[in-house]
Amino acid sequence: MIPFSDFVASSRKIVKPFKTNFDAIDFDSLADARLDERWLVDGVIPNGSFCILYGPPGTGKSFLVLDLAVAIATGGTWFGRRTEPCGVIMGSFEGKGGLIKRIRAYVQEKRPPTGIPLMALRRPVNLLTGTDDANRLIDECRSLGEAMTLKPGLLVLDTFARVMPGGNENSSEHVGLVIERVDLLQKALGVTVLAVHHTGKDGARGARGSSLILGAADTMIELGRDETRLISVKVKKQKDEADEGAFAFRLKRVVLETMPDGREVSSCVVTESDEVERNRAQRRAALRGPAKIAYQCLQQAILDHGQVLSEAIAPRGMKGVAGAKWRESCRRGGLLMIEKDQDEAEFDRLFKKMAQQLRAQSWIGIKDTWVWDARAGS
Amino acid sequence: MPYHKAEIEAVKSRTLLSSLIGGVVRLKKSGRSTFTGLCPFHAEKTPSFKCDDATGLYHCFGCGVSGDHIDFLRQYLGLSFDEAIERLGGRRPVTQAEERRIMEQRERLDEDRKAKELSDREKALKVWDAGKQLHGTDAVRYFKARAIEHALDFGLPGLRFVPSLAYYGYKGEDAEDLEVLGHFPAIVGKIQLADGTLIGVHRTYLKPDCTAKAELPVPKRNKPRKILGTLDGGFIQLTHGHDQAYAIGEGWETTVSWGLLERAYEYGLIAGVTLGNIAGKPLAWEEHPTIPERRVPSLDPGDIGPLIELPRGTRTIALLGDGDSDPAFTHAQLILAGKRFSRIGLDVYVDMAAPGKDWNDVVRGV
Repeated sequence: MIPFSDFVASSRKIVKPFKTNFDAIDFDSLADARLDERWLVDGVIPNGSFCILYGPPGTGKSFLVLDLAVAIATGGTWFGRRTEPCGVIMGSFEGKGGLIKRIRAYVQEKRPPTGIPLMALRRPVNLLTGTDDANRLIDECRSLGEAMTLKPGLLVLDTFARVMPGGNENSSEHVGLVIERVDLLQKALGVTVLAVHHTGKDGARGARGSSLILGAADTMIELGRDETRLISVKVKKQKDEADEGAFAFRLKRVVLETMPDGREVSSCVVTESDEVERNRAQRRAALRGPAKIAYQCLQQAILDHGQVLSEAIAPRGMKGVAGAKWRESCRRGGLLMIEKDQDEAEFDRLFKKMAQQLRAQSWIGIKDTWVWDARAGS
Repeated sequence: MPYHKAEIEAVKSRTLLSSLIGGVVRLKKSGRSTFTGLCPFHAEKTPSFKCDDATGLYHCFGCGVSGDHIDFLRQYLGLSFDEAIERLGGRRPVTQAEERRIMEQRERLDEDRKAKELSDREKALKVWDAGKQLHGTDAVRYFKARAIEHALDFGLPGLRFVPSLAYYGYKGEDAEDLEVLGHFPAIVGKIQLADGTLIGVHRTYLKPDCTAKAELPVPKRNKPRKILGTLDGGFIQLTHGHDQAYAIGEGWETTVSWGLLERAYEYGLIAGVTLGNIAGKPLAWEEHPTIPERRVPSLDPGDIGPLIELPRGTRTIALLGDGDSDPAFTHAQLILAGKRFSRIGLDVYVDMAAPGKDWNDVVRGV
């Protein structure tokens, strides 16, 4: 029971709500609003976002996208990150023959379950001229969604250039129109749109074309390749987040068939790698603060409890410990001084953050529940 | 120049009230000259709005709104009196003969209405007199089914049980006349004024085994809860004695449920029967914030006090709101009620059931 004056105050929103055409929201409601932080891929791709994956030719963009798509469609992990299982519609508009080979290689190598909610569109959509194609695509995604076991959550456009036929990537007018329609798709379907994009000739300048592309994306995933053909994946931009991470993979060649003349038909699959990208390693600064403590605590834990990890987990002969041992070591090593048990959550937050940071910077390797020192011996 | 009564009547007589109101809400013929529909003033799912072309009056049993052609135009469209007259075709001179005829007709209607009120009140009194104390009757079964059997300890002086009460209702979708649909056990609430005068009865018809409300044919038209007589300014008393603090809810069930739940024994319990009765008539109606073509009462109480006169000596009133009706309408009515009770110097509190629930749902943990 509340005094009448309080009732009047609390009824204001119900009896005389303000009218808005632009989804206005007051401070209190914002403060009370549930945090709707959901990720398609933890810490990398937010739900319902616009994401651009770009890199120079030969960085395995389409392979990586397929790897990502299957991980999401099966709800598996992707580079150790949890994914939200949902349907995937993959617009594979470049190199149709390539798609079949990529999928064949993937199936042969990784043996995904059958019947996963993943569909490929093979005829390009035109998002530049009018909204007809966008609307057709919306209708189609909806009806394809009904044919899938999970509601579509990811729409891949491979590539961005292919959905603007006749358009000029450098024209902010053209790019602006396409982005407007991407927005339309996103809103109507509630999906994340991931567009694959080529890096310009000057790789250092980032994605090709109008800077509008960069401005519109919530997340940019940049691929780069070093001289050993190790491909690095850097999450460059999270509109609302500062969480930037990096990981790496190699493309493994898979022979699909051998022709009578001995020629091999092959494709590639993505294999995760905990290797350190070379030039990055050289640039890497010394650790400081809690990251240094956490790293040292790991070294101590390995010294105390380390065991040789199986080759399926870490490079041959690598010693590592269970994550829990490392955590214990961090607790004793003073990563965060806590007094009460309530602060456990606080500690775990920091611990998790440090683990991600150290891993992203390739100081450590993590797989399943195991942790090792990626720089041991180097 | 001021209008003569007959002039106003003549203006109104040009337009059927049902066609005027039928222009904004869909009305369904329910009798020789009567129509029912969803109330244009408040959000509801089942029709409780009635208009009568014979008397030229409309009334909503849900929110208590009532009036004639001109009231409707003023309330619904916010027109002034003159504008309303214009909208109805404007002023026209009336001959003396016409004037006499119109006034006679008006008087006859007024007399009919008064006579009906009087006879309804007599009927209501008869129903009440036929009732027995609830204790030891089959009504206890209904209380048990609603998880409010302990409410019998409140005394419930304003409730009685009638083992067999005729139900007048509509036989079919399009029936125009009321007929007896059967006899049912019923819990009868005495709608009374502060001095104890009975002005009407509220009837809750039950299934023959008294475990639930009666199941009636054409449920859209025949409700298990009905009012006979009038309810304006009246209430159903649910606890004995003179209390300084009262809690007032809409129906008796929701009110006693709140009493059981809150164990606020310092509060006497009364049911106001309808929210409109608790709030009193609004001075004006405003656009509903979310439902087009609906209205919510304006929050301005004017210099009008509450419609319900509470027992003498009352200092505190707790308004109990159900969360299962349209929130904007419920909150607006409660604010109007609260302002009016505040005006006469009472301490006012409000207790709202959780969204989507009335207090009985809360008791039953639905």
